[in-house]
Amino acid sequence: MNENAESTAGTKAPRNQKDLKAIQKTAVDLLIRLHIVLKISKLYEANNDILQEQAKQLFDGIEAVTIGEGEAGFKVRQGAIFFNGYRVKFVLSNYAIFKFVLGEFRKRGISAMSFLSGLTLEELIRFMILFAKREKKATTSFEEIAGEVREAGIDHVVLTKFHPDETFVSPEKNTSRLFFLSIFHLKEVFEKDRRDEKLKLNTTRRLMQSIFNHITDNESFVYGLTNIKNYDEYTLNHSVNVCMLSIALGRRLGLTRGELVDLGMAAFFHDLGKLETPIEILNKPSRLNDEEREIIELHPCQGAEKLIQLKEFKRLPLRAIHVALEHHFKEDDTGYPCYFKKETPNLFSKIVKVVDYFDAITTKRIYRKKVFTRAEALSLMLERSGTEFNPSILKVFVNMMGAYPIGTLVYLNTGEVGIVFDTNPDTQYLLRPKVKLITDTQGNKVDGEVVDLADKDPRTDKYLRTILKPLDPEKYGVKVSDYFLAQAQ
Amino acid sequence: MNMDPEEISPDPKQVEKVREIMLALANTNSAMKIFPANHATVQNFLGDLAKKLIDFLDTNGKLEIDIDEFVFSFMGKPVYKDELSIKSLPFFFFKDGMQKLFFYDGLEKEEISDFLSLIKRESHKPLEEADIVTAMWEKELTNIQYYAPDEFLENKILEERAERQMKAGQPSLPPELAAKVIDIKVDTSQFSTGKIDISGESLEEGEEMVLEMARQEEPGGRETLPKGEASVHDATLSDREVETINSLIHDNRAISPEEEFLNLLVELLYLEKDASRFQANLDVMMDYHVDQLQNGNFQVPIVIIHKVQELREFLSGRNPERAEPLEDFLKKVTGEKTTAAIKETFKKNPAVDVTAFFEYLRLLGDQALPLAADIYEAYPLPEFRLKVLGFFKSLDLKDLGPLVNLANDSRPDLSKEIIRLLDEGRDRKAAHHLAVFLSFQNKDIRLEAVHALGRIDDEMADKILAGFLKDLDEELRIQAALKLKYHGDESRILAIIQDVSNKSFRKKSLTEKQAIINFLGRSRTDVAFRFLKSLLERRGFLPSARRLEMRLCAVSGLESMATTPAIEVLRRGTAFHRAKIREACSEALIRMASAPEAAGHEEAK
Repeated sequence: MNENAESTAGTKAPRNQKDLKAIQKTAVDLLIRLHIVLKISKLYEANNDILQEQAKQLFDGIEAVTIGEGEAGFKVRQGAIFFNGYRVKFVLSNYAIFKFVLGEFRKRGISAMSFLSGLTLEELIRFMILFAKREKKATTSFEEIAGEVREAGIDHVVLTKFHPDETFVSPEKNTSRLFFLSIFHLKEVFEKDRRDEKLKLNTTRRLMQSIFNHITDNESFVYGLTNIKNYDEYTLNHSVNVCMLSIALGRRLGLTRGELVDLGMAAFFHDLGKLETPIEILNKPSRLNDEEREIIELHPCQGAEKLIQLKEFKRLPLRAIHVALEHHFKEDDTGYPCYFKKETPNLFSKIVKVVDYFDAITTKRIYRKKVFTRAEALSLMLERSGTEFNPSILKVFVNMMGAYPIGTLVYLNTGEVGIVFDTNPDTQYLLRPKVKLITDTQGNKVDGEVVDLADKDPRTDKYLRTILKPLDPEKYGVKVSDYFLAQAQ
Repeated sequence: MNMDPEEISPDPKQVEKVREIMLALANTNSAMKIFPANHATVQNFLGDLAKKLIDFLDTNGKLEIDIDEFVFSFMGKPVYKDELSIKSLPFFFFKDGMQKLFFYDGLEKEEISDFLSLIKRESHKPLEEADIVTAMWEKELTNIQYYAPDEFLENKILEERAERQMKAGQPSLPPELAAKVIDIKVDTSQFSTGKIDISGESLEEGEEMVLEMARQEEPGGRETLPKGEASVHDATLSDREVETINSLIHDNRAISPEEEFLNLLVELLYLEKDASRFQANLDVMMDYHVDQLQNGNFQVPIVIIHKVQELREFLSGRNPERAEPLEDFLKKVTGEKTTAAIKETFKKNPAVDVTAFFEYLRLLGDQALPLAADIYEAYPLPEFRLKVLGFFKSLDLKDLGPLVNLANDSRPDLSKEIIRLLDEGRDRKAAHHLAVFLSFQNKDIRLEAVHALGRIDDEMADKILAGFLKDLDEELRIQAALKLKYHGDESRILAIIQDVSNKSFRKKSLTEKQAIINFLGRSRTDVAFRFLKSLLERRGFLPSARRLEMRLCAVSGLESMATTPAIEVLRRGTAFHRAKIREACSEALIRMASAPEAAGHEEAK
């Protein structure tokens, strides 16, 4: 490899809308091809027909770009992927691919991968196999892969290492602190509202940004934190959980950053009206009578009114007021309150509705006999698709949480018990998440490793572990959230 | 080459280049604060900055700037300093928690311009609203990035808490301890203690499921949960579902925020049963209404009124006590706040949507008259005023009474225009309305009214004109007298004769005396004739200038009378002792002889 070769950004095409759309399409197509080839390269050798065929398609795409621009390069920066200097925007349908490629780059400490003019198919295949099979095993993995690429004489692929300051992967500690900071902040908001004091919405906006950044960098861990349930400060904890999950869901749906901040704020404030509900009614252990029900059903309207009465309400996203008012509307136009003229709830209200319900029924409350596990909650919600929830939004949410949502306590066919720590972005492995082992095969509690249920025994080609059934953590006295928080210590 | 950025000690030439870049950045920023973006000065600075920065990036790939309170540094070396905190560019970034700025190869002039526009926009906002980090985060610039750690946010939240506690007189933790309230503490020893006994669980189903999954598995194939499970294997979205979501997102973006907010407010009004909260919501609606007017968005207030009217209609049958405040709202809509807001709008932006404004006025109907009147007065553009008059006409007022009520001394132009409209009618009603102007302070308006009254041939008009004979202003009194006509009310003649006979009459100017006495003449009544004759024939022992003046006025009066007896008296006057009287009478006779109506003598009534 020519050691003096430098990766350049490439010359950019003129930035009219048509050109930008074409660039975007090329970038997404190449990303999909790269994703396919990376996955296949993990499984097969260079002479495999499937690998050859897919690599050829990738190669053709790269060549088409390098002919015009000299190079075809992907760069990762702050949770975004750039192609020849242009941000690649992901949409719902290619989110998994996007996440996969980001993950592959991060694992190897790579910030950029560029293919130069002159690349051959044979060189590409050699590189992809080398790349796919080298995952981060040590802190110097970039040096290892760089060395291997050099030794293999792969001259037309340039890798760039992550600069330490560019590695904005938030450690779990930061994410955990952010979670509790959010509860703190919301408590302050509630307190200020009680005293009719001015709110500092800029701070809330920054908080939403930060949540978004952490979701981008550490999505699974954020989901894990939403297993934290504070029974004494239910509304606060619940609002923060709903906020985080709403932003994550909105991101999957393809909302812009500005929209996600608005959505986050809307979710954050959605239960503000409960400040007006007498605590005896909120915490009543038995069924509410009609009068009590009427009182509690006022909280959406009260919440919306509180928001518009804020001195700073003009700086509040409008949708926050909608969500406060509409988050108990159902998809079949039932629910409460009953509108005068408006026909359909706002999109943000539909999103928060899904997340709000999920978090509520998975939280132990004094009046709730049955607390659903996350998996049970999703099943229940799917049964109400179309009546209670918007079917499409619910599906995306279910997909996001996975068949076994993060935080699910599971029993494995090996006799081990574990907690789902991460989903598998590949839909092929929806039922095979990553699981932290918390017992051995005899049921003795251990602080075990995180295992990938997609792993197979190379001798038998059979999966090493499979989930037999989810378990109720309450029944076994397992505080799931502690296992996530422990990572932050 | 696989690039591995290593620590490089600063090359002085590089540092110097970065210094130039930062200075160029600061200069361009300053220029943009003063001039618009397309101004030549800004473009020159921007071009210089872009060249320097892009050249640097072409060579070095990246520029990383450290940000301190008042300093930009490059590889540990200060490259720009500005300690005037209000304008300081480093401080501008620092105050929002930014610690580093990165510029990357691939940066173009347009992106630099976008970056500077962001800075400009945020620096114009009030302090509590501005945040450059938020702005950059939302903008997602491709080749300009930043580093703003969460510690800033954490400190901010903790400080705000401490501030609130202090205000409330509550004890607060010292800063070094305050951060510990969000420290995480988990007892991990519990993770390795004890056992989980799942012997009570039924595992058959799960074991069957695993066997089924293994049977279904193909190389590279998908595992599925057996049927009967409410599972996620159906959770992949169909094209139609993707389309539904995209459509929801699109609709969410398409709806106008104003419309959305109004719909929301109306719903809140509909839902709220508590009277004080209902009123609070209405107050928000009113503030919003005024805001929109201030911004010149007249379409929105139109929608507000429609919606409130609709809600009022709906509630008036079902819930009259809630309909009432809505009615009050509709009345208040043309109150002081609104008027002030509209005036401000037209002042700030003369190019406002006038069509929408008049549509708004028409919607308000009669209620908008005072508002329209104020606006008419405030803006002297002829085209605009025509439109206001058009609005008045569109109201199809049965008479001009409501318009007349708009006239006052603070609206002189409008008042005159209303007089002009009354003048067009020239009937008894118009005369009646013109009476209002008797009491106006503004002389010009009163004068206009007098002229208008003079053109109305009606007893009422004369009655009102007679009122102007007592006006404080001489010109008005004279004009009133000149315009007076006689319609048979002899008492008026007698009253005027009485006034003329009073001593106070002597103090009036000759012109005024003549004007009044001429009216007596124009009346052609016997009583006036006899009076004028006696006035002319009055003599005294000693010469008197006043008496002479009155006799001369009498000549003028008889001339206006122009009846046969009047002419005869004038003829006799040509033989009087006083030369001036003789001359005056002669001249009067000559004028009368040469006037076209000389033949039309009427006998005294």
